[in-house]
Amino acid sequence: MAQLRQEYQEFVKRGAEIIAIGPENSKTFADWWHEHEMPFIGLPDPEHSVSKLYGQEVKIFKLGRMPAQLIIDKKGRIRYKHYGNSMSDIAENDELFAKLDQLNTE
Amino acid sequence: MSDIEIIESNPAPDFELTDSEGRKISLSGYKGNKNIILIFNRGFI
Repeated sequence: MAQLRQEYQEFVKRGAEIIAIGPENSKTFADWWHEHEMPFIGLPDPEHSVSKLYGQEVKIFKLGRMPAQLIIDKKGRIRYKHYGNSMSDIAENDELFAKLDQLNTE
Repeated sequence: MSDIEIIESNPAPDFELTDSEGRKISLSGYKGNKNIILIFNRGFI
Protein backbone atom coordinates (compact mmCIF):
# COMPACT_ATOMS: atom_id res chain seq x y z
CA MET A 1 0.00 0.00 0.00
CA ALA A 2 2.87 2.34 0.83
CA GLN A 3 4.42 1.91 -2.61
CA LEU A 4 1.10 2.66 -4.29
CA ARG A 5 0.56 5.78 -2.22
CA GLN A 6 4.08 7.01 -2.85
CA GLU A 7 3.75 6.78 -6.62
CA TYR A 8 0.03 7.45 -6.94
CA GLN A 9 0.64 10.45 -9.22
CA GLU A 10 2.43 8.16 -11.66
CA PHE A 11 -0.76 6.10 -11.91
CA VAL A 12 -2.88 9.24 -12.29
CA LYS A 13 -0.58 10.46 -15.08
CA ARG A 14 -1.30 7.23 -16.91
CA GLY A 15 -5.05 7.79 -16.66
CA ALA A 16 -5.54 5.02 -14.13
CA GLU A 17 -7.43 4.87 -10.87
CA ILE A 18 -6.51 2.61 -7.97
CA ILE A 19 -9.20 0.76 -6.06
CA ALA A 20 -8.05 -1.12 -2.98
CA ILE A 21 -10.26 -3.68 -1.28
CA GLY A 22 -9.66 -4.84 2.27
CA PRO A 23 -11.29 -7.41 4.54
CA GLU A 24 -11.81 -5.12 7.54
CA ASN A 25 -15.15 -3.82 8.72
CA SER A 26 -16.19 -0.40 7.45
CA LYS A 27 -15.22 1.59 10.54
CA THR A 28 -11.80 -0.01 11.05
CA PHE A 29 -11.06 0.36 7.36
CA ALA A 30 -12.16 4.01 7.15
CA ASP A 31 -10.18 4.93 10.28
CA TRP A 32 -7.01 3.39 8.86
CA TRP A 33 -7.64 5.00 5.48
CA HIS A 34 -8.03 8.47 6.99
CA GLU A 35 -5.13 8.08 9.39
CA HIS A 36 -2.79 7.21 6.52
CA GLU A 37 -4.29 9.82 4.18
CA MET A 38 -4.63 7.36 1.36
CA PRO A 39 -5.18 9.26 -1.90
CA PHE A 40 -7.09 6.61 -3.84
CA ILE A 41 -10.30 4.65 -3.44
CA GLY A 42 -10.58 2.26 -0.52
CA LEU A 43 -13.38 -0.26 -0.26
CA PRO A 44 -14.00 -2.26 2.89
CA ASP A 45 -15.36 -5.68 2.03
CA PRO A 46 -16.11 -7.33 5.39
CA GLU A 47 -18.37 -9.90 3.73
CA HIS A 48 -15.49 -10.78 1.39
CA SER A 49 -17.99 -10.72 -1.47
CA VAL A 50 -15.62 -9.14 -4.00
CA SER A 51 -12.53 -11.01 -2.89
CA LYS A 52 -14.48 -14.25 -3.35
CA LEU A 53 -15.67 -13.09 -6.75
CA TYR A 54 -12.06 -12.56 -7.75
CA GLY A 55 -10.76 -15.69 -6.09
CA GLN A 56 -8.40 -14.04 -3.63
CA GLU A 57 -6.71 -16.93 -1.93
CA VAL A 58 -6.86 -17.44 1.81
CA LYS A 59 -4.18 -19.69 3.22
CA ILE A 60 -5.26 -20.64 6.69
CA PHE A 61 -1.84 -21.94 7.68
CA LYS A 62 0.00 -19.00 6.19
CA LEU A 63 -1.62 -16.27 8.25
CA GLY A 64 -4.54 -15.43 6.03
CA ARG A 65 -5.21 -13.59 2.82
CA MET A 66 -2.72 -13.43 0.00
CA PRO A 67 -2.38 -10.06 -1.76
CA ALA A 68 -3.57 -9.78 -5.36
CA GLN A 69 -3.36 -7.07 -8.03
CA LEU A 70 -5.28 -6.84 -11.30
CA ILE A 71 -5.54 -4.33 -14.10
CA ILE A 72 -8.94 -3.82 -15.71
CA ASP A 73 -8.94 -1.89 -18.98
CA LYS A 74 -11.42 0.77 -20.09
CA LYS A 75 -13.54 -1.87 -21.78
CA GLY A 76 -13.90 -3.68 -18.48
CA ARG A 77 -11.62 -6.56 -19.40
CA ILE A 78 -8.99 -8.17 -17.20
CA ARG A 79 -5.59 -7.41 -18.71
CA TYR A 80 -3.19 -8.27 -15.92
CA LYS A 81 -3.31 -10.30 -12.75
CA HIS A 82 -0.87 -11.11 -10.03
CA TYR A 83 -1.97 -13.41 -7.22
CA GLY A 84 0.58 -13.45 -4.45
CA ASN A 85 1.97 -16.66 -3.02
CA SER A 86 3.05 -14.94 0.15
CA MET A 87 2.33 -11.76 2.09
CA SER A 88 5.22 -9.96 0.43
CA ASP A 89 4.56 -11.24 -3.09
CA ILE A 90 3.22 -8.00 -4.59
CA ALA A 91 3.57 -6.71 -8.16
CA GLU A 92 6.15 -3.94 -8.51
CA ASN A 93 4.83 -0.53 -9.54
CA ASP A 94 7.14 -0.57 -12.56
CA GLU A 95 5.43 -3.69 -13.84
CA LEU A 96 2.03 -2.01 -13.45
CA PHE A 97 3.28 1.16 -15.18
CA ALA A 98 4.57 -0.88 -18.12
CA LYS A 99 1.22 -2.60 -18.53
CA LEU A 100 -0.67 0.71 -18.30
CA ASP A 101 1.65 2.26 -20.88
CA GLN A 102 0.92 -0.65 -23.18
CA LEU A 103 -2.85 -0.28 -22.70
CA ASN A 104 -2.60 3.43 -23.42
CA THR A 105 -1.08 2.76 -26.84
CA GLU A 106 -3.99 0.52 -27.91
CA MET B 1 -21.61 -15.17 -7.59
CA SER B 2 -20.27 -14.87 -11.07
CA ASP B 3 -19.17 -17.73 -13.27
CA ILE B 4 -16.62 -15.57 -15.04
CA GLU B 5 -13.16 -17.04 -14.87
CA ILE B 6 -10.46 -14.64 -13.74
CA ILE B 7 -8.16 -14.88 -16.72
CA GLU B 8 -6.72 -12.24 -18.96
CA SER B 9 -9.02 -10.83 -21.67
CA ASN B 10 -12.16 -12.02 -19.84
CA PRO B 11 -14.60 -9.37 -18.64
CA ALA B 12 -13.94 -8.36 -15.03
CA PRO B 13 -16.82 -9.28 -12.71
CA ASP B 14 -18.64 -6.11 -11.70
CA PHE B 15 -19.22 -5.17 -8.09
CA GLU B 16 -20.47 -2.28 -6.01
CA LEU B 17 -19.28 -1.42 -2.51
CA THR B 18 -19.34 1.66 -0.29
CA ASP B 19 -15.94 3.33 0.06
CA SER B 20 -14.23 4.88 3.09
CA GLU B 21 -16.05 8.18 2.38
CA GLY B 22 -19.50 6.59 2.11
CA ARG B 23 -19.64 6.78 -1.71
CA LYS B 24 -21.04 3.91 -3.77
CA ILE B 25 -18.26 2.70 -6.04
CA SER B 26 -18.83 0.23 -8.85
CA LEU B 27 -16.30 -1.14 -11.27
CA SER B 28 -18.65 -0.59 -14.20
CA GLY B 29 -18.81 3.10 -13.29
CA TYR B 30 -15.27 3.50 -14.69
CA LYS B 31 -15.94 1.76 -17.99
CA GLY B 32 -14.90 3.81 -20.98
CA ASN B 33 -13.10 6.25 -18.73
CA LYS B 34 -10.20 4.79 -16.76
CA ASN B 35 -7.98 1.77 -16.49
CA ILE B 36 -8.33 0.37 -12.99
CA ILE B 37 -5.68 -1.05 -10.73
CA LEU B 38 -7.62 -3.40 -8.49
CA ILE B 39 -5.81 -4.26 -5.28
CA PHE B 40 -6.78 -6.94 -2.79
CA ASN B 41 -5.18 -6.39 0.56
CA ARG B 42 -4.18 -8.98 3.05
CA GLY B 43 -5.66 -6.83 5.83
CA PHE B 44 -4.06 -3.96 7.70
CA ILE B 45 -4.36 -5.28 11.20
